[in-house]
Amino acid sequence: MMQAFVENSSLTFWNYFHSFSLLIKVIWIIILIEIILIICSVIYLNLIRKRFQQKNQKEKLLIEKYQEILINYIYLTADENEEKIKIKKQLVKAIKNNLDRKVIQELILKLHYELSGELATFLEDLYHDLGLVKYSLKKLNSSLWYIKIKGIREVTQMKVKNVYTETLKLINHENKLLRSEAQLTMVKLYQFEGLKFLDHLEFPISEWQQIQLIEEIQYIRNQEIPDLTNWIHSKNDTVICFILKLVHLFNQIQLKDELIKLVMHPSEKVRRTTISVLGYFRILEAKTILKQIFKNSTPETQHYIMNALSDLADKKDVPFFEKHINHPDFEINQIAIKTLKDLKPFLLTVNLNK
Amino acid sequence: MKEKVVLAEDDKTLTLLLKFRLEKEGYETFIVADGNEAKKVIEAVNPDIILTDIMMPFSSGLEVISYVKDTLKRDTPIVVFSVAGQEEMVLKAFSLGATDFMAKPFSPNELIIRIKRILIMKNR
Repeated sequence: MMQAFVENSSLTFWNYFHSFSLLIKVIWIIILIEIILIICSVIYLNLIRKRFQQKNQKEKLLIEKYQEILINYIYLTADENEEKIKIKKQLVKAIKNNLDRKVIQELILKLHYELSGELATFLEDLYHDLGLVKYSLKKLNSSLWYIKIKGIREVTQMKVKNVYTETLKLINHENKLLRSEAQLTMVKLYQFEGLKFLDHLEFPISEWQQIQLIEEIQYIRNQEIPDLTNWIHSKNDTVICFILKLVHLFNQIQLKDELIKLVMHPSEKVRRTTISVLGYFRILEAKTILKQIFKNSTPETQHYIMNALSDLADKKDVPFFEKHINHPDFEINQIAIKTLKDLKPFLLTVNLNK
Repeated sequence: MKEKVVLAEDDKTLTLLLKFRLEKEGYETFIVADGNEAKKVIEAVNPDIILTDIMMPFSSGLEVISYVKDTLKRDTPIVVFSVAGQEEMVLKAFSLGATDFMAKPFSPNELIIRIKRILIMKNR
């Protein structure tokens, strides 16, 4: 009887459905499909959520497991060598599994970030011994830029030295962040030797990147500064500006002839930076050329020249500064007056009264 | 009797590592992961020395120092952990009564030496 009722009702629904116009039928079908899609999506999302929860739970357990193992391993003494070998074998085996490896790798990197001294060196050695370097290097070959950055940060943090070629390839990557990270890695890992990346650099180095590079360079303990002459003639103007900052930082005054030549460089930025460095080093030979280019320079560059000439000035330069004490540019006439005041206070009073 | 150390730090791995080391050196170690918990444990166990991170959930290391020095009125030595760029916070910590500070990354060996030195000075 029940079956007859079901058959009857489905038949009724079918007849009812057939009585609709085509448009209504289509709308019904679309609604039905959407309901089915929504139900499927909810089920799918729930499954994904569950999977994520399970994965997170598993990861949490693994973190607890491996942090205990790692800490035990770190504090094992020399006479507990057997235990050391056993734990190391266990870790080597574990890193074959993706999730376990991710946990172990992150634990070592995180701990290394917080520690210094012999424990930091110990963790670097462990990272190498467990073969985790291989997985960091794999990231460098990824097609995704952010994975490459992750890899490059890992190798830098763990002081992996055999990545010169791989890193050099990335210094001209189309992604700016990756480029910056690769350039910093070159300096962090290879110190002054790493500056050779400047020979191959096709992109400009931003001011911020220059600051970061200089910050890293200042940490270099080796004081054997390389010859910076070649980079002074680079085709990349930002490389020249960066090198000029290094010339200033490391007092490379022996490059004064090269610096004087740079005053005529086509790039205004290079000219300005050079003029500042010339003033800082008090290179008297630069005075003539600075005076020569003063007239045809832009107002901003004229400020740089005046400042440099003010640093270099002696009594012979009094006529030059006198010529500019009534210059329409306030900054220029101020520098001229101030310099004259330092050089010849009495003469300045007379000229101003005139 | 073992000297008591309260270690307030929200990085669990670092906490475990330091706890292991402190216990190896013979200290009784109480670990807490946030500032509020730190205040409760400090009040309850009255430690010989407190090691605290500056940045912690709920209450910062600075609040913990203030609580120990101003509310509990205890002169327990406090060593503060900081990271680069927290110089202002370190100065505040000192003005609130911190005894010493260590900038991360730091060496656990150095930390132990500092703890021993501080406790010797305290017990004189």
